[in-house]
Amino acid sequence: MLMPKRVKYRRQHRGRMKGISKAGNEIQYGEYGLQALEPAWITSQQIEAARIAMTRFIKRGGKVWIRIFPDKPVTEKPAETRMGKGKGSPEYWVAVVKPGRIMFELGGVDEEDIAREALRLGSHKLPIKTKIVVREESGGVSE
Amino acid sequence: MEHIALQAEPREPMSKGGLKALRRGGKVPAVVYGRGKENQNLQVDGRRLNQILTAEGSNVLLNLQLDAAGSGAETVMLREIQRNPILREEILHVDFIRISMTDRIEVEVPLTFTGDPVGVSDEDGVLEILLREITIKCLPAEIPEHIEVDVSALNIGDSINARDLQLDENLELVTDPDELLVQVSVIAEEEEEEIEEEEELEEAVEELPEEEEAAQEEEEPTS
Repeated sequence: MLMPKRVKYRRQHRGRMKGISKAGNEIQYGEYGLQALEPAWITSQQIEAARIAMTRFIKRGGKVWIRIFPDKPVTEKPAETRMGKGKGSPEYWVAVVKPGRIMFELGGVDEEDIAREALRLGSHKLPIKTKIVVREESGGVSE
Repeated sequence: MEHIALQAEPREPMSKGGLKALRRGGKVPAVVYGRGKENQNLQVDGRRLNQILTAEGSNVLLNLQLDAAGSGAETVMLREIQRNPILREEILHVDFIRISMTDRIEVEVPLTFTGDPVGVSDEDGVLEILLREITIKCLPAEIPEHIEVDVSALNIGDSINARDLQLDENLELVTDPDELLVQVSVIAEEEEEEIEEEEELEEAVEELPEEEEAAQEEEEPTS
């Protein structure tokens, strides 16, 4: 599962998830993407489950990109512990996702139906509402 | 390439609330600049702009008419389109740049990949598209809608670079010629990999917190 190799501080504040995703809200690598419509903490287990669901469905007919990384540790206090005595120990890692974020991308898939079904299966492993987005043709004057 | 007429109205600089009200009324705030003239704030009809973008793409030559008679028309192109990241069809703002039909400009042109690569159809390769548009320099009237790239001859491990493109004489490549456009690669077997990976990572998850906790406690003197 995804997690940082080393971190500067082991415990983080919870933070807030206001607003929309300012970065990572456009398809970069593949042709199809799975976009978050709600803010959430996506755990490394959920990311892995979604990745496995998608890769199993497309078999060897495409490639999956994971565009989020769980870099935030979440701590928990042991069961039946009295309050106080410091913050709990890190239990798992999450990625902070805000609405608009492209979480997964799919490319090299022969048919759109296969890509949509793979992303649908992957979306069921996530705790939020999502939308399947298709790459748009870009262009424009650069100078 | 034909010019498409787009009606625009001058707009005073507005507050955030004013712009939101404008968008609710179906208009899109815009700005036009370039060619040494003063920039001008405008507003255009959102539905008409969406129609043009859907039909023609973003490399379109526009005749921007600033009055109803169409006398003060300027030839412009789209420089930037800001969209709502969630509701992609909602355009937040557009930048128009004034152009001259006799000066060469740099534009991004989409690539279309044709053919079924040998490495994908006969073997178990996957076509990886690394670049989907290239920058070229040409006259505004000569901008191609797209550039075709034939990938049918690609085998596993083969790739196409920007320098391999067959461009017309009047088009000059601006993108780095060494830039990789497309390649056919092999995807490793997933099932076996998954099992191994899971075992390795479970060990790592347990190791990491303990190591770091020890390091942290050494660094931070407790009061």
